[in-house]
Amino acid sequence: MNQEGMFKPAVIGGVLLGILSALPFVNLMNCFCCAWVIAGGVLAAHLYVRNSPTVVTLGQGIVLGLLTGIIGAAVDILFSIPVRIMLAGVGSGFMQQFLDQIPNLPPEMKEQMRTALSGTVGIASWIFSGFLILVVYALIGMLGGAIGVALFEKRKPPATAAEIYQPPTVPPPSQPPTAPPPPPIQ
Amino acid sequence: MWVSWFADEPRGPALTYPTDSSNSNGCRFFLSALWGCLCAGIVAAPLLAAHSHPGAAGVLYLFFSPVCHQIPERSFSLAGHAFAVCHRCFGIYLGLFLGSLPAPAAYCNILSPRWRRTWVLAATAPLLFDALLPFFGLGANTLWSRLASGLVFGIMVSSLLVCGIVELWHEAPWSKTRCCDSHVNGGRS
Repeated sequence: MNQEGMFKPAVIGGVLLGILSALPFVNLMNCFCCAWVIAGGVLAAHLYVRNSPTVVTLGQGIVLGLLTGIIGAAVDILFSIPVRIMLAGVGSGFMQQFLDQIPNLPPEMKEQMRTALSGTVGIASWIFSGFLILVVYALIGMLGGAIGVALFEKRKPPATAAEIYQPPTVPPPSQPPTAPPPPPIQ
Repeated sequence: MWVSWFADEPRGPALTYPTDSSNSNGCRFFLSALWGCLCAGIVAAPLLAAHSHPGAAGVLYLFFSPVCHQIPERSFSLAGHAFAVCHRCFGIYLGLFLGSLPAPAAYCNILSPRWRRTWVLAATAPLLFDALLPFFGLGANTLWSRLASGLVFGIMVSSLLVCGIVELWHEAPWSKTRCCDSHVNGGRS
């Protein structure tokens, strides 16, 4: 497995998915089957397949997607910090909007979260949410990597021993030598 | 471009590792357990919310919030509360779980590069059409179309994951198959 060659495509795919997942409004695409995360994994797989001298297997695609998801989660968390700082100046309205984006959240939980996120406990909840994003992006990234390899890898995988080994063919039974014709009687 | 995708196809086996070994079944069970737990969490969230466990329910809703819009009108409901994900996402997770149940040999020995690509495109197209048609005003999707398109997509992704995890396991340094089976290296030990 060409691990060194995996790093660059994973960084490219991860940075792209992280930035797109951190931008307000643009990150709403992730609500549609984690589109950006899968796209990041597919992009990383495409870059890796294009530059790999050997056949890329689905397993390598999964590892690549996992790496891409982890990098993307880190970039998303880092990029969301200035976004949250900017929006924190808006006041408690942002908190209300954030909690309202989760429609099925029980009211008691919303109140607890509003209290938790507004104080020093907010740091712990921020770390917890970052951990959740890391896990989810890593899992979904694996899917993207596998899909990307399946789409872009066209080369034939290594042959099995059964294909390389050719059993000796049994030669046909040789014909008995025919006797030369008798000399003409003089 | 599209013709070249399907033309000049290398023919050959899809997977060179044994798919009926205990390691392969272990990979399959691990994936089944993972997706099964996620499906259980999706269904457990409304039950917990209905039985006065808002904290646990809230954690589950939070866990799935980065990957789903969780609109109640587009989600199944149980005990008066919505599932933790929408119809389409629930179909995907259910497909992931159902797709991990068959033995790896059911997928890995038939998914050549050509059929793999066809399988991915055939399973992704319904999902894309179902999701994008309302945006272009060409039609409206229904509960069953969202669920079915997500289910097919999930089964496809699960089939790729099963084969990939089996390959990874057999390529691992600690795997006996890697060192002992000559066919892993194409007949060369």
